[in-house]
Amino acid sequence: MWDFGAAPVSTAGTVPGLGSFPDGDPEAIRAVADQLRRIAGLLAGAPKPAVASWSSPEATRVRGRLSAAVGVAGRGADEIRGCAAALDHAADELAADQRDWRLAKRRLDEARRLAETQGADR
Amino acid sequence: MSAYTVDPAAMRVAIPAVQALMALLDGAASDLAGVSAPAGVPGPVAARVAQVAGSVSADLRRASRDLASLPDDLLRRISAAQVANAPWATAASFGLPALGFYARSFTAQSLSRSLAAGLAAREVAAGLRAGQSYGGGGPRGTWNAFRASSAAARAATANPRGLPPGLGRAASVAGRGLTFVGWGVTAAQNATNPHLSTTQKVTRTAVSIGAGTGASVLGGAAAAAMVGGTAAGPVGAVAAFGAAVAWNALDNKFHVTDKVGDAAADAVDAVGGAAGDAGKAVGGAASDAANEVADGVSSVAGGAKSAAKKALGVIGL
Repeated sequence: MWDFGAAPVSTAGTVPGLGSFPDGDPEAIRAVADQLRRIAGLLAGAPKPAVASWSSPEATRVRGRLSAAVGVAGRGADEIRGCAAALDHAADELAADQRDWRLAKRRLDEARRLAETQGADR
Repeated sequence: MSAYTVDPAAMRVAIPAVQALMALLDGAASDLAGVSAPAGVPGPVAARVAQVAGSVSADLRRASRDLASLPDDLLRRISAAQVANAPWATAASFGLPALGFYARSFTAQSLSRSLAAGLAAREVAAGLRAGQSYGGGGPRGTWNAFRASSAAARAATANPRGLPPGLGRAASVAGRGLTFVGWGVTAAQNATNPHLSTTQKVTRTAVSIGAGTGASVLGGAAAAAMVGGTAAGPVGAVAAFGAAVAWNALDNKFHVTDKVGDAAADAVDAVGGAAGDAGKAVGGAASDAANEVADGVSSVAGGAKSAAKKALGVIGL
């Protein structure tokens, strides 16, 4: 989460042990995950058209085609939901990495400022 | 033996549902095609998202394509089921025009214009076979055959024989009535056929009426060509009836009228096309127009034309 009480930390430069600021926007990743969940919801809710009061071998074939199409939509929805979950996880990890990097950078900046102040006093 | 049941109304409800399912599948496929993992997503996760989005999108498009023919197929079955549910309409569309031609053939003895034309054609053909020439400016005698046929037609028209005048008139009126009812049945069938566009409903009905008139003229001419104007009688009636029934049978088998009507509908619908092309399609010969229709109509029309020639040959025209 954002630390609104602290001064903003520049993402430029590197932090020893952590390297440069982790690239990417967790919110953009979550937006893509939400888009995938919306598509999955539509596909999972795809209704199978009812062809009522029709019985013949061809009617059986037609119902089979409709069931197959709805089945493809359902299986696709499952796979897409899996991707959305993976993206959510990636967004959470990226957000945590960025938060750790900012925290480390702030401590590093504060340590530098303190060292500079003590040097000037002497 | 398994039971086959079809409910046209229930089937009609399924069509928009199938179309909605196809739209849903296509829409989801398009949305997935534009999905990609943003920056910051680990490589394996990004690769998985790309692979799943691509494969599911392709699967959805394939599933939609598999359903593409279904709405038209259901429409055809609705049409067939309606015909099956109303066999009287099918029988009437075939039988009423034939009965109308039959009733009107009783007046064949008093030559109609078509009968006179058939008789004149026969006389001219006989003259040609006898070596007469019909070129303009020839000797006075070269027109004898034509004048003879015209005189015979006038005489026969002025003096109907062998049939009480009232009965002849009544048969003629009844024939027209039956023909009109037949046209009404055809129009109703076309109007309730869900597989036809509005233009097709109109043009098929119009062409059907035109073809019926053509068959009537054909029947009269056939009667005259066979037996002449003065003694048509029952033989002429049979000939006229035969020609009309032959046309009806051919048209019911090959649907030439429907094909010509559809060709005309195509031409009418092609508003943006060249007016000359549309006029050509409408005004062209039946076989030419039918060639414009998809679904192998050209061979069907050819077969119908050939069969019609054979049938007319049998009855002597």
